[in-house]
Amino acid sequence: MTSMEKDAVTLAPARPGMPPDLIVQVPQGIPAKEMSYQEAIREALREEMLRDERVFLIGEDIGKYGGSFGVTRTLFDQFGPERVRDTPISENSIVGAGTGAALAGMRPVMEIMLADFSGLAMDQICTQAAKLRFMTGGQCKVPWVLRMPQGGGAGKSIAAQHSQSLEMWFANIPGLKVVLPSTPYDAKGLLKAAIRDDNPVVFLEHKLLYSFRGLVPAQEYVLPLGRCDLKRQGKDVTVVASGAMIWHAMQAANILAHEDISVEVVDVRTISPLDEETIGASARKTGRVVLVAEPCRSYGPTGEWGMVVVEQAFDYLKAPIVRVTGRFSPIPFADSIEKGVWPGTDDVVHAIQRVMA
Amino acid sequence: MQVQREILFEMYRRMIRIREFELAAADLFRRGQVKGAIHTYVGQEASGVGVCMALRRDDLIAGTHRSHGHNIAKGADTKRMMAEILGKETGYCKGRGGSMHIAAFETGSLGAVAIVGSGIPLAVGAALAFKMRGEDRVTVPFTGDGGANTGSWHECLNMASIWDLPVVFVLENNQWAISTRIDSVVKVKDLSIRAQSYGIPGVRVDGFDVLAVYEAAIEAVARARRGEGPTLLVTESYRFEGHYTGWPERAPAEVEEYRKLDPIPRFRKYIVDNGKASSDEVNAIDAEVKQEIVDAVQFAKASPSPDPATAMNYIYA
Amino acid sequence: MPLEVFVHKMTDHMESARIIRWLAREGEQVEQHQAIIEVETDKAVAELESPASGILKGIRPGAVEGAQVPVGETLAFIAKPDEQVPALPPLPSVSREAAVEAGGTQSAAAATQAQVVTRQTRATPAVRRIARELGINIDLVTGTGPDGKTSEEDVRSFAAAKGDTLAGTTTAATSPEPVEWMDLSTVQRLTGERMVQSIQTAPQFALAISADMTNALQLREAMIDQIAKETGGRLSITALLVKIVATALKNQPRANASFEAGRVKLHKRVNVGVAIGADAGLIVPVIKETDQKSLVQIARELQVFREKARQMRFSADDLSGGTFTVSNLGMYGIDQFNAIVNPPQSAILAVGRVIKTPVALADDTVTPRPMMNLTLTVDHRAMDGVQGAKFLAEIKERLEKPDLLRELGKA
Repeated sequence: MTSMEKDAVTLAPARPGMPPDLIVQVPQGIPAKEMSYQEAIREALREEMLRDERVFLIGEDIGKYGGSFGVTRTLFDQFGPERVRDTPISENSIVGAGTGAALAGMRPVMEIMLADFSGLAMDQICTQAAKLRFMTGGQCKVPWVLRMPQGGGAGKSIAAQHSQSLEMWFANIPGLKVVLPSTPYDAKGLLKAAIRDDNPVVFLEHKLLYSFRGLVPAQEYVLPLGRCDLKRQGKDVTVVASGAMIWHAMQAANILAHEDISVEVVDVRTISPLDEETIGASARKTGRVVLVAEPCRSYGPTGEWGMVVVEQAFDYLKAPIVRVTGRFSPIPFADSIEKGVWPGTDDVVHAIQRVMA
Repeated sequence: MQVQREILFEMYRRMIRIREFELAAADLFRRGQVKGAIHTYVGQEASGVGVCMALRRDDLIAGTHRSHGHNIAKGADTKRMMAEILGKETGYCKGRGGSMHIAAFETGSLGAVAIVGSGIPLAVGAALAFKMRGEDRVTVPFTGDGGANTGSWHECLNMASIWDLPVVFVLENNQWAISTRIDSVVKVKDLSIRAQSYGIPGVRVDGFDVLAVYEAAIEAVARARRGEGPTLLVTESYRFEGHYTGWPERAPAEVEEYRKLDPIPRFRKYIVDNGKASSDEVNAIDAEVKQEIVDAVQFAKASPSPDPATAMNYIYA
Repeated sequence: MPLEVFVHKMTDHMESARIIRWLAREGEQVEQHQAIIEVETDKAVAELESPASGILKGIRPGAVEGAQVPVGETLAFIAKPDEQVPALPPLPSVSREAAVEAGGTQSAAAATQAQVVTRQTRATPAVRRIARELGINIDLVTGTGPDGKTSEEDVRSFAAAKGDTLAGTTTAATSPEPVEWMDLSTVQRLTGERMVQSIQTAPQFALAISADMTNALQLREAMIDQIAKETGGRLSITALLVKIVATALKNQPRANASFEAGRVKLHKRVNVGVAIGADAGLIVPVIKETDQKSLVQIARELQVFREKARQMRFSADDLSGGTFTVSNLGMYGIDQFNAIVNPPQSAILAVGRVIKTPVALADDTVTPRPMMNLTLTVDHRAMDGVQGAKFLAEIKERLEKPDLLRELGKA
């Protein structure tokens, strides 16, 4: 059950129709262009491949076909089949080969079609790549990026094996970094950072956000991994969220502004390593915290964020910490029961009202 | 095939080095001075040495859990190997890896890999990197008969074959995967025929004959360097000790039979009989290597353990 | 059949007593009425007497020096030499709080303490931090939120109020004054607690009057021999006052009452207690049916009480049942004072010394007269000012009028 199930009125999906100006990250006056999350990722790949010939792409159907979500479109034409390399259906060896190539000095960006397929590659991701530097006493490093679309949204009906949010599988593995951008601006800046990072980075893209648009600076920029982003400043309540949930949080914040509730939205952005300081500072400032994450409730990210809030801000809490999460259930196919699996704007609004009461 | 004397001597030296190292390690383990688990290569020396002698220093090997021998065959320093097995700061992996993750990167080894089959993709990926960069380096993933049934193994033979990667897949068939006889898990007698399903050459040699292995390896490596793609090289061998030290003898009679095929006395006899070396020369190598291992053990014992203050190092680059 | 030895209930609210010492040993032959245990109640030290002659047997485990024993619990048996007695289980423990209550003297302070210990303070972490920063013990703050939740407001109001009374308190930063600690005796402590309770529960006011003691002093002279024979001393002012007060109480029953559960309980008997200072503290032995006794009898009883006070040898009966208290500090040179009502009584008379005072007579001449201040403190729930005034007036009258005084001498 989602935390808010009994209070939920309507559970709206993260609609493509959410206006781009809901989240503004580029200051006025900076030359920028509007692009989609998908385009922003492609831009990052393109720029990094131009910048460093060690960067190459490898995955299924990423070449001529342009990737099952179209992210790598045009890159095959620009960089050719060696650097935009299609593979057989061999997830474990895609990641293993990527790891080997990284050990041998390349900087591969691997794509697994859906995070749900990462199970096939867990040995290479978590048991090999994550630990090689450590086990060898620092003799090597594994500078790869594993890009995987993930997440779900009501009405998409791609069901149990194509809709999961699996950041927690990787967040618990020391040696990996896990990133989950929520906007085009963040996606581009963080992917560039991930490619330049010398560690294995699991870069999770929310598949429903691919069409979301936003401003992206015309000039090159890189965002830091391991830092939260304050998407909205406020003083009454802190909402900590990630991925597509950020859009719900921002909408909820706008709604509650009419009720004179000033909401601060902290976008986690890098799941691991977690920027505990920013979360703690915000919690201390407002004393009221709502955590919103898409993975199902039990052992999901909100558990970790909640403990961080307790560790960093216990003496400042004016109310219990409230969380809004996905339902602890495999994702069903039928609309009538797929609805309600994930939190929506209304759930976040109710949670904030609860914590303000 | 005519092999130069220096190479023959080096072959012998490396084989005896592996043997002495393994016996010493097993002894330390039985005395409780080596922790965890060690998987010794005793009896398989010819396979690893034959292959590695065909490689350059900048070619890469990837191992298994049984890779003391592979690393030493590739040229690893026994002091640092022994120190790593004892978990000391002076070991190759600064005590972080131990026997099962031991890696002498500077000799061109990606190290031991404790998960069966998981080293193969690493070697394939490295080969891909070499090819992309136009380098003529070769990678050699070792695996056993058990590993040849993993998904990784098949995915990798397929992937390396379609991309013509410079890989020599060495399958050391020592007949046993822990307690499982090969004939109970594989339908075919000759594993090298699996190469056909991937469109690559499959070669099968006597793993107790270091020269036979060497010859086959030279050819496979040359093929790879020429850009003609991967080869599957199966060496038929046997391990004289248990799966890990302390594992009960599974079939003493069988082991006794295979001990008669011991590659080291066999090779020694060969080079002496064929006038390649005198007994004295061979004995000198024996003595030298024995001392080397004694020194290695001493070095390892005298070395410090990792400082707890450094426990969090090397997790991230 | 063995007879049980147990602590009797000696006062209204007594629930336990503390064993000071056994006066007889296990297996010893004792006589009926022989004192076998010395116990301390809230009021005084008392002796338990053996109910029969026989052997003291089967002393209960736990019934040792210092043990707090509940009223009615068997402590031992008196039996025939060959009689078996049952083995008693160890005594149930009596908590400190219960021991305090036992004497019917639960103070307001003690009540607050108990309340603090059992109450669960509910406050958010943020509020607790604020309390800490202000140096407030959050458990002392009354929560006004839902379910008694303590809010930041509550804490800050408490701090502001406390601040007023804490002005000038030394902080940790200054060096402490040198001190020596002194323990209070049980009597002192319990008196203090009783006085707190009195102040906190009864709205008290004081009425003062001064009486011309000329005639009373003459009566004292007249009765010298008579009194000397009975008591070996002179008639004390206190004894005289006790007699007069008793008569007045009989005439004005309203002053011989207690306020209880919204009603006034009028005591049928007049038992006047007299405050006596002893080493252990202030003791108030009671002269039973004071109005029935003659002045001489009263004087004698007072004398006995004074002797008992020297050794703190009062019986429980001596100290219970008072309906009014007289407290005289004249012998200590006090001119006038206001006493605190001794609960559950509703009035107390405080007496000062006889002072030679210039007094204006009816014809406006001024002459020195021996005047004595009498201050009546009254519980306003039981009596109002007019009633108190009337009572005080009668006492004055009985102290001053010769014919009334003469009656005393005869009784």
